[in-house]
Formats: sequence, structure tokens, C-alpha cells
Amino acid sequence: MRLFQSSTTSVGLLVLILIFILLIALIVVFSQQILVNLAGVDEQANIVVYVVAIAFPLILLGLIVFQIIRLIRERATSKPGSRLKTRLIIFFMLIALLSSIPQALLSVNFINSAINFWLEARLGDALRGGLSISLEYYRGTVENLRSFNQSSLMPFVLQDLDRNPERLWKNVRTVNSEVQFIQIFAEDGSEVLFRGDQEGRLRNLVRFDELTGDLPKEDREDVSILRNASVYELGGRQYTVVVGRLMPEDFDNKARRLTESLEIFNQLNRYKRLFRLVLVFFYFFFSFPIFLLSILVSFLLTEEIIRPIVSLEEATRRVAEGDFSFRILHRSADELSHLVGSFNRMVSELSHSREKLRQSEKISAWQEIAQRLAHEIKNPLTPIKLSAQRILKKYAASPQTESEEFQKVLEASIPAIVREVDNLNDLLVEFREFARLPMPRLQSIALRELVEEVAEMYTNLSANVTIDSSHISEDSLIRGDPNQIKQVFANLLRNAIQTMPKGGEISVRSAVVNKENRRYCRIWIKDSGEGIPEEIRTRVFEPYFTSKRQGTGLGLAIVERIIFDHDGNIWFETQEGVGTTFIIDLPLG
Amino acid sequence: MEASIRGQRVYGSVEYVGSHSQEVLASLWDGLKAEITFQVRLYRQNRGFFAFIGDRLLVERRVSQIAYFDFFENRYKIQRDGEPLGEYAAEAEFLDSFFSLASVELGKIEPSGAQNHYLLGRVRMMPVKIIAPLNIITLFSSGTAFTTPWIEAKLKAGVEEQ
Repeated sequence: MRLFQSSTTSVGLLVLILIFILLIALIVVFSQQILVNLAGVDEQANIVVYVVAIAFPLILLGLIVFQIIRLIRERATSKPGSRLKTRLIIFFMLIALLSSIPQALLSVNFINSAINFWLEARLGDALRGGLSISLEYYRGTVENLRSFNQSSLMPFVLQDLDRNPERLWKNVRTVNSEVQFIQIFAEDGSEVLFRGDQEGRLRNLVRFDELTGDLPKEDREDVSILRNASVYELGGRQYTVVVGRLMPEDFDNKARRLTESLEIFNQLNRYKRLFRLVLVFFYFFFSFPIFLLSILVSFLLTEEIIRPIVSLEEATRRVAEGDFSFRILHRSADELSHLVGSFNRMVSELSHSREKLRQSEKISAWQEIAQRLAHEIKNPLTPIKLSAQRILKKYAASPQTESEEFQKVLEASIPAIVREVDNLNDLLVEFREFARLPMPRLQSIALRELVEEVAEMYTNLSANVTIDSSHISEDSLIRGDPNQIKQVFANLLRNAIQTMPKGGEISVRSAVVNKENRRYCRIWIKDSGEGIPEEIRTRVFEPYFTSKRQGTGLGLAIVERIIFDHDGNIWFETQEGVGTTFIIDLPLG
Repeated sequence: MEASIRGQRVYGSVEYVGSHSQEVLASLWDGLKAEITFQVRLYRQNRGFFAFIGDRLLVERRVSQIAYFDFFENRYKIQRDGEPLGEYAAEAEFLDSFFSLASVELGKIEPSGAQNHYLLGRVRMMPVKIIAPLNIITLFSSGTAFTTPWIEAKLKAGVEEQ
């Protein structure tokens, strides 16, 4: 059994990263745009913002509560790793808290300092002073135009209206150089005179009757114009005299900026206490979801960290209980992965050693049985055989006085006794061989040559069976005892032939495989026989087990033992009616 | 709040009668701005089976007026939706103009069906128009903005004004 690592944690982390990016985007949009519009009257939009702003932290809070409940339940059921998980989460939370507290204090302090800096009294004084100077200049200009246009000098200046308009304009400029243009209208609104800068000229008068006193400032794209109008009577006729001045370029813009700056300053000054509180609130409003998110990340990271540790703990427990099939999968390539890899190798080697020990114990037991059996049976066999032979010899030499019936029985029984004793003797010899099987003398063997040598002997046994070893590479080398390996192939080929009474094909092929950091030569011996019935498959390698009438049941047991002694492995795949394939792994030569 | 129908066109007029005149003038003299937003909606009544889903909103108009005092010209000025609306030397004239919205057009309806229509209007008043991002304080302070309840004005067939 293997423990498979779930990818849930990685997906969870990915989702949290996406949420984090989304949160940052929301904060940017929220702070740059939505907050500005919040004070509007669009309550529906506000409701959406409120819902998002409240729902998001609530969802995160809900997920954290869920994780905490799960952790409590894990601890209650003593789930492996729950205590370590709790400790790690507390550590993560502390780290998040410890890093955010100084940041919060710094930010709040910075906000306070910034507000205090912006609202420094000298800045307000400067703004008010600037505006006051602008106003003074503006009003001075207006007053200057008014006083000039209403002064007692004007009637004298206007006397040149008919006689010498140029002198009139010259006199105006001489008396007041700030006047940049003069425009005189007759009673019917028609223009009588214009001198000076053309920018100041009034055109298309609609309401001539309103042309009196300080006229409203005229704002144009790049200039603004101040005018004053007065009515004079000359020679029985009424004239409206307009004098004016173009304000310095950009005066209006600068004055507007000054006014706006003062407005901002006054507002900040008026609401600074409330604004400070609101800013602090918003700081925490935005920080809180990030803090929650970091806690949620800590849950997932903890899960990721403890997973291999919990797996190791679980695997160790299972191995201690005797389950050596347990393996742990770990995808990443960190130190934990190396630890898991080492553990898997250790369990594998332990399992292998255990199997080897079990096999050795089994073989030793059988060896002992075989030796005792051979000893116990063989001793009486010789006298039995000799006695039977002596009876037969004596009977053959004696005259024909005995009854015919005794003769018949004796003639039938004695050969049977001898034959059966011979069979018994063969069996015991084989038992003894099995028990005395020597340790292999290892050397490099050319596999194909060896298989062909054995195959040649068995091809003659059955004309209907062909043995194909052409798929074994010429340079395939294995490490083994040639005699014992020959016996392996002899036993396997003989078995295969016996399963194909009507003939068939046996194919032998090989390939190099890597197994647990070692290279092996894998050999397939495939027949097209009847296959092995399911009910006896588990007993195939047991000594003294056979499905054949004449078999001793030691052939495959010997094969397994030889392969085992060669540090190899053997197993089979079979399908009834299709055939059997024995697969052998032997170390490369 | 007044509703009128001329031809097929529906007009709404709103006048805010509150106690914020002095507050507005004070903030203007402090170099600040005041803002008033008129919100007018034209509804058609749902009768019969579908009455339970409420009346249908046909048109909504929202008009914002911002007032400030021009210290250079000694005049009160009003901007409507960013465009200059008027300049006033007299306080009373300025206040009348600032607190009222005259004849805003809300769309066309069949005069014969006028009795099935009505207007709702309300006003949001900010004696000090708080600039962004300072305006976020309006979310936490009830003293910076006032919103009136919705006032209803019915339209009647063949009647010019109510």
C-alpha cells in the first residue's frame, strides 16, 4: 500500500495567492476610485461596496473558524500531527501579528505626522497671505479704474473726443498708465471711439443699460479683463465711457489654485481629527483581510509541512506492525523528500531481508526434513531390495514343485517391489540433492549460449515443441553458477513441455531492467500450455507440491531456491488456456 | 416638490426648505464650497395583479449644484454639473437659486395616462462640499451631509401643475 500525497494543499495555496492578488487590486481600486465616490448619493453602489467590503473579511473569517474547528476535532481524536500542526499555526499567527503590529504603528504614526505637516500653521498663513495679496492687487486695480473713470479730470479729457481722439487717448495714458484701453459709446449704444489693446474691446452689446459702474470681470481662455463704465454729458449728448485693463496672464489660474489650496487646507483643518480616525479605521479595514489571509495561508502551509512528517509517522507505525508494503510518495525535491526516499529504501531493504530470512528458514526446515527423511527411508530400502532379489533368485533356481499360483504372485510382486524401491530411492536422491544443494560458484555466463545448450537437450524430448531463444541478446551476461542456472532452465523447460502434450512453442527472451538502484537481467520463459489453475497458483513453489502424477514436487522449489541463492527473483504470470510465463530477475554479469 | 406636464413632457421642480442657509453662507465665506444634489424620479404605477412588485421607475435625474463665493468679484457663484449657472451679488437671490431646481425635464408620457404617474424627489445637502479623499469622513459623520426623505408629487391628466 502506498500513501499518495494529495494536491489539495497546492490548489488551496494557488487559490489563496489569487485571492491575495485580488485583494491588492481591490484595495488599489477601492482607495483610488470607490472611496472618492462613496460620498455621492448613489446608495445602491454604496451598498454593493459595503457588501463586498464586509463579506470578504467575513468569508475569510468563516474559513479560519472552520479550520480551527477542524483542528480542534483532530486534536480531540488524537489525529497524527495535530499537536505539531497547532504549534506551527500558533507560530505563524504570532509571526504575522508581530510583523503587522510595528507596521500598523508606523503607518498610523506616519499618517499623523503627514497630517500635522500638511496642516502646519505657517502653511495656512502663507496661503491666506497669498490670497490676500492677490485680492489686494485685484481690488486695487478695480479701484484704480473706478476712481480714474469717475475723476474730475475725465470731462476735460473727453473734450478731445470730437476734436482730437488721439490726444484723448494720449492724455488718458498720461494721467493713468494702468488703463490699457478706452471705449466710448453713444446714447444709442453705438461705439464712438476705441483706443488701446483690442483684446479689451466690447462687442455685440446686448444690454447696454447695464453698462455702468464696475463691470463683471470677463474671463477668456488666456486673459481676463476688468472694466469700469461711467456716463458723461458732453455738448448735450450722453456718452458711456468704459476704461479697462487686461489682467496679467495666468492671474486667474494662479488665483484659482490659491483659492482651491486654501479650501483644501481649511477643510483638512476643520475635519482633521475625524479624518485621522477615518484613515486609521481604513488602514485596519484593509489590513484586517490581509491578516486573515495570512492566517489562512499558515493553515495550508502547516498542512504542507506536516504532511510528510505525518506520513512518516504513519508509515513507521505500519512497518512496526509488520506491513512492509507501505511506501510514501513525495513530489517535491526538498530535504523532506530525501528523508522520505531514504525511509522508502530502508523499508524496501528491510522487506527484502525479511523475505530472505523467511526463505532461508523455510529452506533450512525443508533441508532438515529431507535429510531426516532420506536417512530414515534409505536405510531399510537396501535390505528390502536385496531380500526381494534373493527371493526371486532362489525361486528361479528351485525346481518347479511350487504351485503355479505362488509363482504367478511372486513373479508379479517381486519386480513391483524392486521398481517401487527404485522409485523411492530416486526420490530420496532428489531430496538429498535438494538438501545438499551447494552454494553457487558465481561467474559471468553468456545467457543465450546457456539457454540454447539446455534447449537443445529438451527439443528432442518432444518433436511438437519448438524453443525460440532468438530474442535473447548475444551479449546478455548474467552472474551465476552455470550448473545451477542450467538446472533452473532445465526444470522450467521440462515443466513447460509437460504442459503442452499436443505441442506448442516456448519462447525465451531477456532485457535489462533497473530495480532499486541495481541492474538486472530479466528473463521471460513463455509457454503456450494450459496455464496454472488459480487454486494452486500460491503453492507452485512449495516443495513436494505437484500437479503431475510422476512429479516429485521439487522442481520449482529447487528453481526458486537457486534463483534466491543468486540474489535474484522469480515469479510467474499465467492464464488458463493461454499459457504461463515465468519471469526471472538475475544480477547482470 | 412640484410636478408638471406640458404637452407630453414631464417636468419636476424641487425646492429645499431647510435650516442650512446660514451654514452654507458661513462655509462659503470661509472659502469653502457647498453642494446640493437634487434627485428626481418619474414612476408609473403598477395596478392590478402586478401591483405587488411595486411601481416602475421610468426616469431618474440627478442634478448637482456647487456654490462658492468669489472673493475677487464679491459674488456668489453656482455651478450646475460643472457648468457655470449664475453669479449673484445678493445673498437672498443666491440662496433662492441654490436651494431650488426649476423644471427639470424627465421625459415624455401620454397626457391621458398622467394620473398613473408620479414623481419622487429628495435632496442631499452638504453645507461643506468635502473634497476627495477627505470625503470618506461623510461615511462616519452624520453632521457633514443631510438627505431629505422622498417627497411625492402626483401628475394629473389635463392639469398643468400640482
